[in-house]
Amino acid sequence: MRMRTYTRPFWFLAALFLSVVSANADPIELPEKPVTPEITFLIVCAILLEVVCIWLVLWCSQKPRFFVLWLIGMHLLTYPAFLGVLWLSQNMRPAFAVGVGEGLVVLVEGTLIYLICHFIPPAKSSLTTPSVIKCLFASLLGNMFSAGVFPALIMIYDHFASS
Amino acid sequence: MKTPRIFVFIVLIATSGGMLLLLLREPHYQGRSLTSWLQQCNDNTVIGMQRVPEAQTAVRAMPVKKVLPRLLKFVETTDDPVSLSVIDLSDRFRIQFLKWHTAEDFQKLGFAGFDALGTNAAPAVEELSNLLDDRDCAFAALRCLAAIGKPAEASICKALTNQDSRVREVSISVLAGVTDDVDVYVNRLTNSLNDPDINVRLVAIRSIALQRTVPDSVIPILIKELQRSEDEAEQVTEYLANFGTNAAAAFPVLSNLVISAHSQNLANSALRTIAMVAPDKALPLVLQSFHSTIQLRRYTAFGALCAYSPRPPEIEAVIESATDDKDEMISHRAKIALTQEYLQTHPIESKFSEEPVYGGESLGEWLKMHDAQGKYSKEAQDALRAMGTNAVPALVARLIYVQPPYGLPAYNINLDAVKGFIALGDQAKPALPELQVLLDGTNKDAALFALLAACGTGSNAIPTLTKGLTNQFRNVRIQAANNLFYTFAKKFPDQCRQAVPLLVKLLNDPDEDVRMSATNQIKEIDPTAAAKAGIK
Repeated sequence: MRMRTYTRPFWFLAALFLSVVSANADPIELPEKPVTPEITFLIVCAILLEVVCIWLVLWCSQKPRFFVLWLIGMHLLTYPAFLGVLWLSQNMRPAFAVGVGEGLVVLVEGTLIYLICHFIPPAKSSLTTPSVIKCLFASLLGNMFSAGVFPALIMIYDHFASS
Repeated sequence: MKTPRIFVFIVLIATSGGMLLLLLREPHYQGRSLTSWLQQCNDNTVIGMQRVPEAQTAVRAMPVKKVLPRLLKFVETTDDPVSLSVIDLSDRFRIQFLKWHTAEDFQKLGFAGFDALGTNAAPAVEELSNLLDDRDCAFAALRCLAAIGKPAEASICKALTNQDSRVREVSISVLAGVTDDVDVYVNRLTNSLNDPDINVRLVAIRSIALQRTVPDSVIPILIKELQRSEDEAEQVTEYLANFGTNAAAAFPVLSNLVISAHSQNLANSALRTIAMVAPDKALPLVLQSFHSTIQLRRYTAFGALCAYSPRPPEIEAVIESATDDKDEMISHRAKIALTQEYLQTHPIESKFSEEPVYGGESLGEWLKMHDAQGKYSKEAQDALRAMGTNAVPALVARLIYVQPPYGLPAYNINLDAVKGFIALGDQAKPALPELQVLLDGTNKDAALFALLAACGTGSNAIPTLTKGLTNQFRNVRIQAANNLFYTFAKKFPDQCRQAVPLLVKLLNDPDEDVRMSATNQIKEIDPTAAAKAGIK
């Protein structure tokens, strides 16, 4: 109680010297454009284009039934793995990290395509089974194509999104 | 055929993996990579900065031969289109789990490493020096050279003529840290005074002007710069002023500028400087400038006259006559100058020699014993209370004290008296009638201080504060409203509520601040009355 008596008279001095009360403004939330539709469009288109490219390269080779679905399913494994590699490579230059990631994806996808073509029962057994090199080549071409058209896909999406 | 193909495939994967491992190889210390330690060196957060010395020790503990190539790689990093696109896409799609690093981030890591190594990184000087020719990493290389210090002196000198003006500009400051001899430093910068980039020239001039230990070398350069262009001359005049009478040789050029400079700012700056570098010779020109028709020139001249120390009689006469100058600014400054002079021979406390004494200390000494927030220690509070009503007349005298000989306000003395009254508490009651007279007077400062001083008497102050709500001075009305309803309302609600009608009247006060204060207080004290008055 004694302390309160001492400090009481200083309240108004505080009011005198600190008469300007700071303004606590409410932060303004700026609405952000949703990115999910764009990401979905880009990834789906890129994977489909890659799948088509691989399918065309292996046109004359022995392939299992529903090969396209197998290829799409393969991306359920390789795409998260690609993001994982990027995450692990964050301390590198982004171009280098993406290059390493893409290189590994080409190797893994090429291997998986080879395994799919060899171990899943084929639709037409009269065709020859593709070699490892051919599968790797198909994977390389497919990935290069999908990476190459990525900027074009972005432009296409922007065009439709803005119209 | 199948076996060799698979063999080729395995060799391909093994080679890729091997190359990757080679590329990523870097020195380690205590299980952590160099990059990891450098990131710790580069942590600018408050907590992170405490861990910097530990990281720097770790970097120094690694073999320099292995560390330097890696650091140089970091410094050499430049932005490429693919990396920029990847960063841009990650931002665009808000992929927050990927934290990419720009080239600048990598360069900072390199700098952190060189900063930790210091002169130990001397073997890298040549390669860093070569990087100065690369526009993209020249700036980072210069910072690293600066971190290396003395061994990089020659390379930093080379940077003074770099193609990038930003590098030239920074190298001037960096060079100061690695050059031992001041005269050598000044000589090295003389070429930069002719740099095509004005920022480089200005930094060179400033860096030379900072070398006050060698006035004989610096002042001729500054005088030459003064004559070169009016754009840079204003800055140079200020640098010359720092040399005081050592720069007396600049008098002819400066006086010429005072008379004929196209820019008024330059002429005024030259006038200020001339009075500092050659006070005696400059006096006729300063006096003449005081009679100028240009207001700013008069202010400058008067400021220069007031700064003379000691002041010759003719200046004293001018300042005294200026107290009646028709320009209020001049007359006020003259009064301040003469008051300060008066105080040198008549200390303030000599005016209060009759004050009560307690414990061997006078009232004035006790009144000064408060902290930055104006709060007294228990000892001071007890001393003031022990003096009690004896202190009241002295406190009133301090409350209304004005500075002789021109009656200028003496706010420190007045506010000390206010604090003294508050510390007295109820014992200040006998002063209330006198404070009330001051409150009703024509001196706005005295009225405000009287109102504040009355607050210390608790509920006894409420009538005074209530009266203050109708005071002729806006500051008094605002403080009365704030104190009455902010400080007193919680303790004496019934007495304060009686003042609500007067507070309502303040809602129509001609002064906006008073209205605002009344609005805020009325909402706090009496929401019903506030609603009736239409305040939401």
